[in-house]
Amino acid sequence: MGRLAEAQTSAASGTSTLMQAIQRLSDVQRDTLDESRSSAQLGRPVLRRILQEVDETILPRILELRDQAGGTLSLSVSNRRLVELSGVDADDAPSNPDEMATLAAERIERFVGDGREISIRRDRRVRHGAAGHVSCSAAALAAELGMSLDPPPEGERIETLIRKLSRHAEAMLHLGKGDGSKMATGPEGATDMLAALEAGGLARSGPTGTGPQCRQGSINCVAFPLSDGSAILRAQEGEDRLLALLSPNQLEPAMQAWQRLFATGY
Amino acid sequence: MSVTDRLHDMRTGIDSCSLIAFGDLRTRLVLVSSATRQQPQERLDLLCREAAACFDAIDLDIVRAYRPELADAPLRNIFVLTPRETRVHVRSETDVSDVLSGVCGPAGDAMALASGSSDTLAGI
Repeated sequence: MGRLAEAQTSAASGTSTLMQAIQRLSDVQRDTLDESRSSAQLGRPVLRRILQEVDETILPRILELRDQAGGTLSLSVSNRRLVELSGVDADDAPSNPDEMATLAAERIERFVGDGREISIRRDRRVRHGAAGHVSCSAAALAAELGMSLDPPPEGERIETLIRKLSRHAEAMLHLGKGDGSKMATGPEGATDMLAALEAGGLARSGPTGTGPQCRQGSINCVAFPLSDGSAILRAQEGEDRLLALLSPNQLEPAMQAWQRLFATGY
Repeated sequence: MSVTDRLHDMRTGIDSCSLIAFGDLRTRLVLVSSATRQQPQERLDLLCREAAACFDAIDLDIVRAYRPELADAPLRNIFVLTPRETRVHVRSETDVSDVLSGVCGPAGDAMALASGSSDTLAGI
């Protein structure tokens, strides 16, 4: 009888240990999956990713940002709001949502830096909610970071790009279906040159092949610098095409503007 | 230093760069490459075909007619941006059939890749 009780106790203990092991394994697998989905990124892409994570999180969880040196910054997130930041002293604690957004943007930007590789891990094992904390919305955080959570809808992005390029371009030509011109700005000679380039073969430039990157071929941008520092840029979204003659040294900001509108993670 | 080593050094010097390939625009084949993970030859040759198609598609005479001061300047760099990546094609100054093509992310890295490619091409 005593031996039976001992065996039952041992079995129960073994089951408990096994259950704990399975739970731990489950947690590790879940965390590993989450981390691999958030592959290491740099600079502005990681800021965009953090904003997306905050904006898409409803149930409480911790986002842990980790750099290659092992440094971490933890963000408690709940109900699409940033609730708490690690490393904030009670004296520095924000007293209202605006202060929280300012403080969070400053700490996150400082941590992410300009060239550091950051990975993001999501931890769902958070049991407390947002009660009692001053929090800020993802939109407020985005505004403090100088970014937007709401990119323009497809079909309106070329128009948005035109507005963003207006200070970088000497001339622009917006073409719609066929060769119909929707808009032309700048010297007539320049817009005629852009139209001639498009008709002369530029329309055939762009991604080549049949891979995944080319199935998205109707959304692309081709740019080339000229020897005087100016550049030609051609952006396409479906039937919409924008041709721009960029002012000298404006190619990089123009490419950045395109990436923020059309590319993943910029 | 071997061509492979040069490409490797260049790729690892640019944060988001995942691939650099040295190719021939006439045959449209990649001859040497350096990548974060092994790439099928078809993918590499596709990159070279894209470079050739882009250089062929751009008629600089049209630009020169508007800007005569650009008369003798050849087309050296082309950037192809897609939602997933940025591809940079840089043609050699000494042999217009030599091309260095790279794949990276942010515009700043693409510009760095383009500016470093001329020196790498000259050293090959």
